[in-house]
Amino acid sequence: MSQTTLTSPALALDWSTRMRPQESMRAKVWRRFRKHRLALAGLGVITVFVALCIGVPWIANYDAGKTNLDIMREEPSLAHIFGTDELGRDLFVRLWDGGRVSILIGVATMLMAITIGTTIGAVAGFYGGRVDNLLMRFTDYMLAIPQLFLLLIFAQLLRSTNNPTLSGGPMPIIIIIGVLVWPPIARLVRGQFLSLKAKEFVEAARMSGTRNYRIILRHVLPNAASPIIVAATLRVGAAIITESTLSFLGFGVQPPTATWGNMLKNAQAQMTYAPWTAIFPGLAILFTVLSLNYIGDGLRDALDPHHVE
Amino acid sequence: MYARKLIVFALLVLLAVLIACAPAPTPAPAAKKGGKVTMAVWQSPITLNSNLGTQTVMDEVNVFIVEGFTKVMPDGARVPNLAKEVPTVQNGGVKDDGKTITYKLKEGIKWSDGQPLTCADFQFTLQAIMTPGVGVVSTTGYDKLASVDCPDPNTVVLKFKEFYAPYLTMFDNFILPKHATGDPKDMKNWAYNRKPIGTGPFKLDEWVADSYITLSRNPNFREKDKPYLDQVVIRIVPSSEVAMQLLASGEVDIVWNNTEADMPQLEKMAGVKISDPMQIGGERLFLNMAENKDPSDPKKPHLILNDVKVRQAIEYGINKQRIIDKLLFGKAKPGTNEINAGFFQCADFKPRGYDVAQAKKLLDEAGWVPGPDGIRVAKGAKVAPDGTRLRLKYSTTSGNKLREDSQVLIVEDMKAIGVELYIENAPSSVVIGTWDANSPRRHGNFDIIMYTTNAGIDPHSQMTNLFASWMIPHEGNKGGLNYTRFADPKVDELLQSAAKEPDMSKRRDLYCQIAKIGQEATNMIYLYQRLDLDSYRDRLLGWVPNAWDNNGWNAEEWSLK
Amino acid sequence: MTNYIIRRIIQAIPLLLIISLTVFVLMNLIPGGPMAAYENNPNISPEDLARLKKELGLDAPIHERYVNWLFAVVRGDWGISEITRRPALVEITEKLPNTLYLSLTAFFFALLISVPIGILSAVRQYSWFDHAMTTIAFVGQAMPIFWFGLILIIIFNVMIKSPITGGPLLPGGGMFTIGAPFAIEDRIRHLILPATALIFFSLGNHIRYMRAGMLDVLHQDYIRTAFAKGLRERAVLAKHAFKNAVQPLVTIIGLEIPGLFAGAVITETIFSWPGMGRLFFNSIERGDYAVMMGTLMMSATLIVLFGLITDIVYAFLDPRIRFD
Repeated sequence: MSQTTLTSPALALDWSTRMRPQESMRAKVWRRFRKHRLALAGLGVITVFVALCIGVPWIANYDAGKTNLDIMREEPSLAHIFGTDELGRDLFVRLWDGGRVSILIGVATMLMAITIGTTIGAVAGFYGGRVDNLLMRFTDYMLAIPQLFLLLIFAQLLRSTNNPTLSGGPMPIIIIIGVLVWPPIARLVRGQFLSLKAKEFVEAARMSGTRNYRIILRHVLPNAASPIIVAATLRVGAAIITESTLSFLGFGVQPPTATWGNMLKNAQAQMTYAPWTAIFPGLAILFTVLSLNYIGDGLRDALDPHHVE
Repeated sequence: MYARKLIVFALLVLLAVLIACAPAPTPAPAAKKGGKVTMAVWQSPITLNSNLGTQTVMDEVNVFIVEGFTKVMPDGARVPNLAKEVPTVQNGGVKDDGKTITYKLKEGIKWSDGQPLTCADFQFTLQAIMTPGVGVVSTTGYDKLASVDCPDPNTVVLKFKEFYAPYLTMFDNFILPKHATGDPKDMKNWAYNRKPIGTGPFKLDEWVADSYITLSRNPNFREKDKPYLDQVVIRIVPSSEVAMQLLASGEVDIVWNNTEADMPQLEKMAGVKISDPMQIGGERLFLNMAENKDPSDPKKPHLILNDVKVRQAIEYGINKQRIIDKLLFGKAKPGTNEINAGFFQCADFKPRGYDVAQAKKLLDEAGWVPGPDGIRVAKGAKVAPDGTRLRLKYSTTSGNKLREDSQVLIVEDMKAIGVELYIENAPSSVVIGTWDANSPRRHGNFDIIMYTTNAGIDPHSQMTNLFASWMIPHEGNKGGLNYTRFADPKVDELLQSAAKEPDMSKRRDLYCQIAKIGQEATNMIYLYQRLDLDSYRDRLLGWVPNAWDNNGWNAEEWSLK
Repeated sequence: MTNYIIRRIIQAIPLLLIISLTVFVLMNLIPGGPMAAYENNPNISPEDLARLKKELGLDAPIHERYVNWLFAVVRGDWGISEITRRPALVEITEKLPNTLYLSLTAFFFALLISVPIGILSAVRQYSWFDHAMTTIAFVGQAMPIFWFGLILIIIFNVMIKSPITGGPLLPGGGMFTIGAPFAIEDRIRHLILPATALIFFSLGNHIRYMRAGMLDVLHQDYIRTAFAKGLRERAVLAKHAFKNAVQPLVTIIGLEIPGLFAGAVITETIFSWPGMGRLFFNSIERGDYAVMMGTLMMSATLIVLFGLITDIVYAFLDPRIRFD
């Protein structure tokens, strides 16, 4: 997603004035990004994790959901490199099974939050006046209620419905997180739009009779893209943490669907006698969120137009 | 192997009972006086007025403070507590066909504030419970009382309108002090609710909501030199994982309400003991014998489960011991019948063993033959038309790990005999909900539901609820609790006789006949009988496990090493 | 300025009204409510249930109950908890100081640590120091706090013993030793582990903001000019940059306020800390309407109020911002 926005003509047009003509925007960002070693390492980790999440069902010998009570809570060994859990399931396989759901939650909530936040922020910033006022009051409203409180109310609400798709799987978690965490993004986008809409190229587009939605999508948005991309990266990690928090409080994704959050929660009680069941999901969350934060950091630096070389 | 374990276990229980019941051969001086004990509880009490609350932790706190006429020993025997003796027909305490019960109070019993306990307090307690509009959670039994009469301050006479079989459970765990409460109409706002006054070994000093409760020695306790401890602190530790760590470090002395999954950790902890008495009742499958529809007609048979052979086959096909060994760390017993502990325990009940061949045989006989994928289909079955697949919905409360894990195993077991179970769980508020909240359990809109229910020390209401045909829930009987829609005129008759029987032993025989019929009919499959698990540090002496009561039931005997 | 403040306060009133209305409706959509505990108790008959419902005043239509609640609150009556039978306001005022005590301490120390680190990280961008510090900060953010909290307890309460008493080095929960007389030292010991968990968690954000704010400033023309004029680094930083980099600090404070009043549900759960987060969590589990509404509205009001204060402070720091 990021690459298509980055190479959109408007963006290239605006920034080209500051760039060495022979270097494309994409190449430039990549060159700067590479300088941030840890961000690069983070990108590597995420690539490997995602590959494992997708690939493990194909390569592994063990059916992740398969219980085998003869090998309950076995220490890591050659046969089971991360050990087994309390039902004898291979922890390595289950970890990536859970990772798929956790990362799905992270990415899906990010997309929801970005979509809602960008739309609201863009409309508010671009149109200004009464629309702006109304939308920003709504944003204030969302920000004035402690987020975890709202999450818990919604989670309790969904949990008590008798609808299995709404009360157990990742879907409700995605919806409640996605619907609740957009306000900071809306504020951010609005700020960008406020300053960008006064720029000459927007004026020019307006003069030539381009429609508003086209101006927003083709001219302003691409120029506001970099902070949104950074925020998006960080949101993915934050959602993974939020899911684990909800799991800890008993409001998360319900077993048998594994997530890193509920694996970790379940492992709490056996932390002292089967520590591997707690350590691996914990480390998976740690490395994923850490890597995403570094990538966000690297992107921030790489996309910064004021960047000093 | 299993039988040997059972024998060893039985001997241990016997030993424990003997020790507990023995007329205290060790004199008091052995115990050291003074000291403080801290118990971690994960639930935060919301009221300490037993009339207004339903939390288990409330009783866990109250047991240190308030008492009743009698108490129940670990073996299920009732012994006098505030009363001089347990009333029986023989000692003249039970008269008038069991409708007049007379208790004599021990001499000189005082409330912790120094006021004397008299019969008037019992009168007041009844009045308070029966005052309409105050939010008393249950009036069961008390509504059968015509009056409490006081011939003298130390004699309490209960006059029942009609015979009430569990009469001994009346006033058996708390009495309200008339002088330290208030107008019953205002019960919700009594100061008593947050600072109960009792006759027990300890009195409440301070209760900081959601944080801790401190109790100290009741100076007016009737037994001289007891309790030994100065202080008991009840600390609210919301995370049970943290509570276990605090037990390991010695920051707390008792962890209330452990689960089987804690056992490996607790067994490795130095200086920690596990209290694990067997509980009555237990986890079971409710098999819906009537039509599965919302709402169901109890007279129409269930397509599959109406056939007793199918129900028995399911039980033969479940490897209960595997669930116990693998998921409960061996800390449970296979279930057999409803009354599996205590005075009313029915002897000579054998669990229906794990027997795949027998299960398959029964299903063949019942007209269910294996289909192409191994799952059976009807061919000449009792109710189901030919070609019906042997597929059943299997529900329990979501979010309970042990239940979810055991579902996995039972589904596997069933697959092996050609029965297909599919899991559809719901939150407990739905599963255990009311008729008006469309609970599937009440409406009969289920095949198999799994959860735990226990009889009390007196199984009267449990047996009636589960087996009486008049307890089958329907539109006109929304509160009915006979979810399996079990109906048997013989059982109804036995239940009615039991309800009129003042002799406890005779009553037990009646219940056991019902339990026997129940086991044969297999409307419920008793999976396992659980242990009541708590843990404590070994510096605490005098702890006696008692599944019938809360941890502090004998707290006056507790002392520190 | 005065006009601005008055206008903002007036704007806040409909905001709080809408919040209270939506939360009230949401809350009532959750089945059970104060009745849940009774409904799940098999010993209570349906007749008892109907009777209890009436006695708790839950049979009135929702709009009627909302209006009643609203008028009572305007009069200063936050209602009585249907569950504990204590005034909601008492429940809240009991817990709010505990929450502020923990979260303000943690917040203060987090700032104390993160401000210098953030500045140095910006000045020495991409140095080993920068990398090391951002790593530490990010690690704190990337760990589920319940996992980290339990690890802290296992290490400092179970594994390490105090050389003096032989008991646990640090208490594993609670605010003080129950039953012991008040002692500053005891309070501090109880504060260390929960505060560490919170500090570690919030450090990441703080350092990030501080570093970013500082970087922004360093790239401003006037700083470059100052460097170009040959001013010594420390002088430039102290004189020009720091003053401007305080702004992100104010932003942090603005952002963290909601968290401070709401309490940290997880930290309070792990460390048995009786605060607002725990109170709210309990109220949801118990279906305790009065307390649920009370905690939410109390935090919302404080958040709005402090949002306003942050904006005013901004204005003092940055004369370019005008109130119009």
